[in-house]
Amino acid sequence: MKKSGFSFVEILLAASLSAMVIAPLAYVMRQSRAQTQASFNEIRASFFAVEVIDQIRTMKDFIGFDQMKYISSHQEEAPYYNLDTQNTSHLYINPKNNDVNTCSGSRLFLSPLPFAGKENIFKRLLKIYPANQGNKDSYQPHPDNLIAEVRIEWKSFGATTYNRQLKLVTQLSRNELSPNSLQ
Amino acid sequence: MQLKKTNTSSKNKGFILFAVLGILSILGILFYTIHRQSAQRNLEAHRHYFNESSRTLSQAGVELLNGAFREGTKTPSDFQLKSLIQTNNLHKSSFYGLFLLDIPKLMDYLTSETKESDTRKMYHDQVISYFPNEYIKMYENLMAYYPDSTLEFSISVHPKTLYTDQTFSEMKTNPPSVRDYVEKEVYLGFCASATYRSTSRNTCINKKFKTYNLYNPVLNKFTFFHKSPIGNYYNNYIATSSGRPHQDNTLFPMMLVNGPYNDSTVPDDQMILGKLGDNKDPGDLNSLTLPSSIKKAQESIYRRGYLFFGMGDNNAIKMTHGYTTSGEFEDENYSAGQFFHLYNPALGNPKDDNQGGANSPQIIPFKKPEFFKNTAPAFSLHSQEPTEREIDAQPMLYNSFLGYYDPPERGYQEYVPQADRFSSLIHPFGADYYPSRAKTVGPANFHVIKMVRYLLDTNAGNEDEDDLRPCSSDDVFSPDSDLGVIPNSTESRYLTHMRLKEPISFYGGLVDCDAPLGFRVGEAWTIPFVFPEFSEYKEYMSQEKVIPMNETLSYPHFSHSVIPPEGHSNFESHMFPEIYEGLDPKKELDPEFPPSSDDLMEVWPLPQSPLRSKDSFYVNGLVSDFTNSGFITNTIQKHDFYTSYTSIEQLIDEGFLISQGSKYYLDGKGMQISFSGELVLDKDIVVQNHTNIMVNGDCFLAPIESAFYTSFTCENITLLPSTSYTKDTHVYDAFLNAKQGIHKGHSGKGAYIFGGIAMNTLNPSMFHNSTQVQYNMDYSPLEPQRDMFYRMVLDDHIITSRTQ
Repeated sequence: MKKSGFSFVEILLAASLSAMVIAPLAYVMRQSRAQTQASFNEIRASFFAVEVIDQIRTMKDFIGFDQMKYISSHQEEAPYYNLDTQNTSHLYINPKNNDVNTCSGSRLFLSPLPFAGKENIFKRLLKIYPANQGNKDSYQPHPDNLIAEVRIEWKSFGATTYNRQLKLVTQLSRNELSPNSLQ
Repeated sequence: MQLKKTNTSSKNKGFILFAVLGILSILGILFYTIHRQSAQRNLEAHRHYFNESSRTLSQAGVELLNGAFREGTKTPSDFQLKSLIQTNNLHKSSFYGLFLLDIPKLMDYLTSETKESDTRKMYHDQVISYFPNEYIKMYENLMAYYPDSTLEFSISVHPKTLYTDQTFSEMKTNPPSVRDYVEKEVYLGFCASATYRSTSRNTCINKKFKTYNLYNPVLNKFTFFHKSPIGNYYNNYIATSSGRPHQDNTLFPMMLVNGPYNDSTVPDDQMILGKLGDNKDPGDLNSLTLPSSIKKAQESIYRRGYLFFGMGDNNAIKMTHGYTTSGEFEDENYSAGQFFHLYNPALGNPKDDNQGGANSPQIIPFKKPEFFKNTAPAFSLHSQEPTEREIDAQPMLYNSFLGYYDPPERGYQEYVPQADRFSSLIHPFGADYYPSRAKTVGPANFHVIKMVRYLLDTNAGNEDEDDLRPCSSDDVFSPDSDLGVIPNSTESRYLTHMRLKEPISFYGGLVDCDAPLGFRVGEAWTIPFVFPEFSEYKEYMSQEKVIPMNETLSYPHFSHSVIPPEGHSNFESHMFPEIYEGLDPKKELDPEFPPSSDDLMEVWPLPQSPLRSKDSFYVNGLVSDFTNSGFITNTIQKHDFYTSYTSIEQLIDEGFLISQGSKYYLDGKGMQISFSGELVLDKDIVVQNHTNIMVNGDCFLAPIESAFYTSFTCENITLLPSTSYTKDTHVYDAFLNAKQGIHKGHSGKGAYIFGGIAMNTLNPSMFHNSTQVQYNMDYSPLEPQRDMFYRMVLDDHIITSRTQ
């Protein structure tokens, strides 16, 4: 007597086939999500880097080259300054002077960083130092040119450490003082 | 039924197989699509970053180009300029040299974008060839941040005439009246094109650039006394004056007053700039750049030879022969000769004598040459027995005068027979009392006299004189006897023509001392004894130097920021009052029949300058067209025998400085003092004699009180507040010359500088409270770099900026 329906073997085969299909699909979906997230984060990181670079350039135009030296290190090997260690996204030329009028030009107005739980996914690092007018292996600072290096670090999908980064580097040359600086 | 069932089952299985395969295919496509999408997103994210990288690189490139251009147009040093000129490739050597080309040559040299275009283009290879070395290194280092990237520069150049704003083609058809085409305004487009990982971005900024000729007689009366960039401050001043919001009581524009000496009232027409609230309307300054007014002023100057701002010595700008006999002016206003203060580092006040010219310090010792260490027998004369005593004595040389001078009591013509006291034909530019600079004109020669005295000294040190000081009511000089003047001579004559005066002791009013009353030299004292070779003699003999036409006798405080003369309050009223041709100016005009404005005539209250040359009134040419013998500078440098001091203690030991209570008393003894290192005079400084300190380092100076010529030349100068009083404004009575910048140590304090300032950058602290500079024309320091009379200025404002 024959019964209608699927045999155990058929069901086993179907389940195996489904598993063979669904497992890679799930993997690909997960990978895709991770990739998408990674791409999205990279674009966001680029934006953050560009934002800092643009703010630095604006700051230089606003307060003048000489004032920029206050936030400049003296050497290429100086550590990065973490822009997000303060509660505000303001970088003061002279942190002791919090007068709004004099400090307004020395602030970096930056976008808030996205949070994941209680933790930032991104970290904005900046260092400014005199440009090297010597050879690569012999650093000779130039008094009228600064290099601004912005490094954005972020955590990839599921990572617990800042395992991705990108960097933008620009140069700032001396103009004479900006007229704005005298107002 | 069974068959039917069998057929159905078979069909179902086929369908299931088909469906499964279909689903698998769809899933496969889905996998592929998702994968592709992810990859695409990834690529886009990378491309976004690459794009931003190339954009950032191109922006950095423009900054670098801007910096290289600014550096390349800095005025080169005297030495650099001379060596550049000698190569005949000045225009290929630096941006400075390139823009010293006049407009036609510049246009000819650069590549044209189109055949008839007034714009020229410089491409990457040419641009980079003008980069200073350090900028080439920085370019290479910048590229290293972006591996496999490229960064190429280009500059578009669009020159116009400086005052008439004409393009190259316009000026060819309608030449402007000012034909120094080196002077120009150049519109520049700086572009940097970057590629990085298949992305490319191009950033351009537009800037302006000007080349001024500081010897332009039209302009230099109103030259600000700055060496370099005041442009922003001035622009800012104009901006704030015209109602742009600014924060009150925080920043003040600097006042530059080209004013008189002592407490005399500053004439209104001498007031160049005043801070807000002054009577003078600063908005008027905007009109000073009107080309039509400049042209009008210039043409008048061309016709007359001078500007006229009204009657009275205060307003006249005269041509002068450089010497005024006593009595031509009744009081202290010696109109001529004052500009000779330009050439002497340590000068007396002309009011102290009646010679109408610059006073010179009585004695400037020479650096003692080796052959002066010989001694020879001489005799000192005494009142007590033995009245004549043999001594060994050394010759000594002193320069008793250097500069244009007429010391009548010494009869210097005897020693420099060609000297002619009326021979100096100098055209000072600027007000008569306050000339900014001068140049020789027409067939003029400028005669400079060097008078060298020959003295006897029994002891090379000061010990013997120090011993005698208690015996004398008068001062005791270090040389013992004046033997005469070393005359101008020839090789054949110098052996036989040494003149010795009757030896005279310098010791007057001796009290109970057996000191020498006089000296007598023995036969060994001949010129060959002092100068074994004629070449040595020639170096030190008295002489007259004739400086030829077009010798540039410039004033040290240069600037690129200039205001032309029609800004003078009296210019229109005195140069162009409403006086009409054919009408008696004393008669009142009939209001019913007013004359036509075409009949308006220029008045001539003063005679035309006899020194005006039709063809050569205006300085028109390149640097190499001007001669500069360097005689004055070189000679004075030769006399700079002082060692360089390195500490305050040494200055105290040498008697230049006394530290007493809350003050320093500074006595430069009328000499140039060299100091190496940081000079910190942090207590109020009272100057007791002419002082000229050249510091190879930074200076920190407390307020300075001086009635003498006082000059500090340092790397940086920081003005310290007073330690002894707490006034809001401190006075610095000196010429302050900083190779780099001038700062205020306490930016909240005002500063009043009576003397002059020259610097490369002016720190903003100078503007945090008022700073006034009143220029003291009675004294002025030497300008060692007189060749450099063109100033190039890159406008600091970015006119437009765009990245594509």
